[in-house]
Parts: sequence; C-alpha cells; structure tokens
Amino acid sequence: MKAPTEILSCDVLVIGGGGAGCRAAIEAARCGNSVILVNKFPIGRSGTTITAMITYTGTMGQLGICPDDGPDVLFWDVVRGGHRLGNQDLIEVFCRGARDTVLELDSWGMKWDRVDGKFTATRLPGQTYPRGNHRDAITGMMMQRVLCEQVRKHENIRVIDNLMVTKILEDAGRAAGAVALDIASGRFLTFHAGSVVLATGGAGRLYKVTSMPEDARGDGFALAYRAGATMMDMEFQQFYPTCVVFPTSVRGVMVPGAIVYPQGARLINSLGEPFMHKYDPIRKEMATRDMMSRGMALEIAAGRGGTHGGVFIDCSKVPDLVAKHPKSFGLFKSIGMESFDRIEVAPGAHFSIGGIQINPFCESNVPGLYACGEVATGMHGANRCGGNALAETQVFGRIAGEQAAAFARYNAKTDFCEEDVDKEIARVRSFLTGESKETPKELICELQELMYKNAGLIRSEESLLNTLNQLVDLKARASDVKAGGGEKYNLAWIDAIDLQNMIQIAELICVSALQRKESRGAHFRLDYSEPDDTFLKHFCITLDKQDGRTITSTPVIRTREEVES
Amino acid sequence: MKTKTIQIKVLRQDPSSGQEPAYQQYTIESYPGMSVLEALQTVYGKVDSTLAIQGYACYRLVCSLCTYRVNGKLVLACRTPVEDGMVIEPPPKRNVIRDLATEIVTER
Repeated sequence: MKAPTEILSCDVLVIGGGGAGCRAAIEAARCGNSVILVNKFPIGRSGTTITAMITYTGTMGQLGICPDDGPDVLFWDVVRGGHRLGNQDLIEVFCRGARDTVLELDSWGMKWDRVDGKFTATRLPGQTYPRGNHRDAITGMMMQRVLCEQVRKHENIRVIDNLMVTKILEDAGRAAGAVALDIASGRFLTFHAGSVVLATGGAGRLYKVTSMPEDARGDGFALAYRAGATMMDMEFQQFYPTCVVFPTSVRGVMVPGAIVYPQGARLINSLGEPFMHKYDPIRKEMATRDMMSRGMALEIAAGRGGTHGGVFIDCSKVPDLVAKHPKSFGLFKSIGMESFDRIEVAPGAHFSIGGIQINPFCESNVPGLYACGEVATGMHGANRCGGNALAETQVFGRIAGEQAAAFARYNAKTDFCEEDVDKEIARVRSFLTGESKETPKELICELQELMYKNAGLIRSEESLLNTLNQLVDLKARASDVKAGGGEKYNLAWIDAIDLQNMIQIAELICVSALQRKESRGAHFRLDYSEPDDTFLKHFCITLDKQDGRTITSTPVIRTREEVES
Repeated sequence: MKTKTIQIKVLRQDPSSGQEPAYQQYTIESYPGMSVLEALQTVYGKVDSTLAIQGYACYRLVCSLCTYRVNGKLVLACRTPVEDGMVIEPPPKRNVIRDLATEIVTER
C-alpha cells in the first residue's frame, strides 16, 4: 500500500533553522529563489545557536579598535589554534568574511555591546588580539532573534517547524529533495528541491556529558553520509572542560572556568588537591580547552575523581556568582544547590569539529548538496578556537545559500525515485508497530555512556575496537526497537529514528579515531600520546555501494607558507 | 545520595481523540536537586514512554520551551525543584498537540 504523503516543491530546501540555516535561507531568498526552511523543533527556540553565550569572532582592526588586527593575524591564529590541520582555503574565506558579518548582524538590529560607541571585545586563549564580540551574555539568542526577523521579511521563505528530515532524496547521484516526518502529526512530507542545504549542527549528544542542547544529535551527519557525502575529521570532538555532572538536572551546564579562576576559584580532585600543574605546568588552570579537558580526564581516569565521574570546582571565594552568572550559578541556586564550594564537573562534548567535507563554495561531493555551520568541516582543524563557531555560521551560511540558489537556477530539477520515498517511509514507520523490551531512550543513554567512557577524551586502540564491538551489538538491538505511543508527537518514535543515526555517527567517529595514531588538539590517544606530523592530513569516510565504509586520506589544503614566529 | 519516592500528576490529552483531558499519576525516585524537567524526562525515560513533553531543552534558561503550569503557576520546569504531589499541566492558551507538547507560535 502506498503511504499518502504531501509533496512540497521549492528551489532550495534548507534543513536546520539555527544561525547557519537562517543565513543560508536569507541569501537564497535574496537571489530570488523559493526557499523552504525546516527545523526539527520550533525555530528560534531550539537548536544550538541560541545556547551560545558570549563570543563571536570579528577582526577588531577593521572596526577601529585594535589597529594591528586583521584577517592576516586571525588567519594564523586559526591555523595554529587548529594545530595546523585546518584547510586554509576555508580559513581564508572565514578570515576575510568575519568582520562583515558582525556589521551585517548589527545592521539587522543585533546591537553588539559597545563602550563609547565602539565595539567591545573579549580576548580568548589563543587569540593574538581581543576580537570576541558579544551582546550581554546572550549573543547566540540575540543573533537567532534578528535572523528570524530577517527570515520573516522574505515572502519567498516558507518556514516549517517540528519537521524532522529522515532522508535526502537523490537522482543519479544528485540531491533532489528529502523525506521528512512532521513530528506533531506523524505525517510524512516529501520535498522536491533544486538543491539542499544541510545546516543541522553537531552531535554533542552522542556523549553522556555535553554542553549541547537536547537536539544536537547529528541528524545531518547521518543524512549526508547515507546520501554519499564524504565525512572528514570525524575523530575530532571538542570538549568544554568544566561542565556540571551533578545534580543531573543541570548536567552539562558550563561553569565559566576562565572567568572564575582569576577570582579565586580552584579546580581540585577528590583529595582536595589542585592537579592541573601536572598536565600543563605553566598555564595550569588557564590552559586551553583541549589541555584542560585532557588533564581533567586523566585525573579522573587515575581514580581521583568524585562519585559522579568528575573533579571539583570550589567557587566559595568568588563574589556575586548568582548575580553575575544567572544562567549557570543562578540556575544551580534555583534548583537547590546551597553552596558552590564543591561543584562536581567534567569535560562535556561542546562542538563537533568533524563533519561533511566542503570546499569554499560549501559544496559537498554530492552535486546539489551544500553544508554550512557545525555540520560542515574543514576550517577548525584539530581544535576550534573560541568565538569562531558563531561567525562560521554567518560566513558560510551566506555562501551556502548563494551557491545553492545558483545551482537550483542553472540545473533543471530532476525527479527522485518514488520507490525511495515509499521505502524510507516504511523504514521509519517500522519503529511504530510491535513491542520491544528496551525503549529507544534506554538505548540512547547506553550509547551516550559508551561513547563518553571509551571514545570521548581519552582513546586507545583497545578502547576504540571495544567500542566498535559494542556498537555492533547495540545496532542490532536498535534496529528492533519499537516506539509505542502512536503517531502524534511521539518522542519515543523520534528517539528510535535518532538512535539509528547516532549509532552510525558513533561508528564513523571510532573508525576515524583508530586511523589517527597520534594525539593532536581535541584527539588524544593514550597509545600515541604525542603529535606526529606524518598525520598532518585528513581522514575521510564515504559509504560505498555495498554499504561498507571507504576510508581515504587527503592532504591539508595550504594557501600560505608558514613563517616561524 | 538521599532519594525519595514521590508522585506527580500530569494532565494528559490528545485533542484529536475526542476524549477529555485526564490526570495521570506517576511515581518516581527523586533526589535533592531534581528539577521538574528532569522528573518529566524520568517519567518518559523510565516509566511511560508514551508521555509527550516538549522534545527540545536548552538547559540554560534561553529557550523557555519547558514552560509548564505547575501547581497552577507558570514556571520554567528546568529551574523549578520537583516536589511530591506536584500537578503539571500545559501552559494555558496554547494549542495542545499531545499531553505537555504544545504548538509554539512564532510570529511570521
């Protein structure tokens, strides 16, 4: 029997309504195309962009603040911050574009923080000059708000909320549309599109401890991979060092370490001793995120952590915590945390560095399929520098929108195979009928535990092979999982669909991490604990016709000769 | 960790079913520091996976999607400690999709 589905047609389909997706939709609409922008939950109130608190990279030299700063200084900061693994063609584009996006958002009503009319900027570790622009401590939320306003101004953008894309449709290897589930009604929609932009964000929720919101489950990685896109640098997952692990109601909330240490906060193990000097003797608690996270993970692994798997941050000497940090310490207080002298914290997954391989036109290797923002990869290398994630969404969102619009204009729409639609709907609906002993949510929790313990910050050949083995078992159980509860807003159904994606991404991470027999930036191998420049290359994975993985490596793209500084 | 068995009541409904909304009581283990949001997630995850709550949560007071009516008062569930006997309902004046999942209308 053929399942009834509504078919919607557009020039450009944008999947994901965060910073990158909104910016892509705006640009495609400006080019005169009809655009459909879909988001898994209510747009403007979900996704990752709104959770970004503070910094947005813009080069202040051009804004008249640090005259010596500019795209060239930023270029080397990003190259070195990424441990020389970032593709420099993308970094060039980013550095030249970042400043203009600050001004563009300003013209749209962003109202960046200013003193005497001049932008104020924070200097983050690894940055030569202060260039982290901000708006109060809700930069991401404000950005999302002005972007949504711009989206609304374009009559040729149709926004659809609560829509979960489960498959990219292809025709002869070219992206031709998508199949999606309307979460509220349980009905399916089919999109017939001239081109598709993926802007679905990262996959921090693969890990038990993460600073990422509930929907950062990496849908886009799985969609792209199954559509034939090349996935690159999947082993690189950035962790933020100090995320709360208990109480679990605030698990993942970030304690702003770099702000509170200079005010007297201490990071200690379960014996009450400071420990960072053992891992980074000079910078100690002010080390970069990757070194902090590594030090904390090693201390916890050595058995000097607390009962919830973290170490402790003692903020008892820091004044005005609740007033100054309402969205972290204020939240802790309101759920009943009485003192801040022993908050248990551990590194939490913060940014998925790896993802869909793109070129400076945001093209994936699949014609008609574009990617921007966290779901894409290439510019950050082995470690993402603070402030670059938000700016990346705007620089590359604009390019993805413009290029996808051009592709849709100059290439006649092709027809996807209706059989593919029927098959996909049958696959997704198969989780609805029948019963299973385990719930999808239980299996997601098991996956998150497994990935955090074995394939998170500290990895080894043994732990990665072990994880891959356990994933085989989990995958078998996941394919049989069932979600009772009907078709309407059935979270278990969504979890069941997500679970299949998440396991697929977890496999890619482990396979890629096994290849990289060195330690660099966010990737740390116990069995190869030093950087090794023979690995100054990217590992890429594609799905081959037999449903197997093809792993290749590709050189780092360099545009400039490095000058010793 | 001190845990305590508590009961919470959730107003459940499916407007398309033609049936009247009804309260359902759930029993869970709570601990000091558990929020209403975590309690609802615990019900969904461990007790009754057919309970519908908003599927997204930001955990840092920016999305406000976890706005529910708790004991008659509109609160953010993520910042409200759960207590025995609490009654949890969807916010009034919102179109209910199912149970605590409601339509969020952003002007456009």
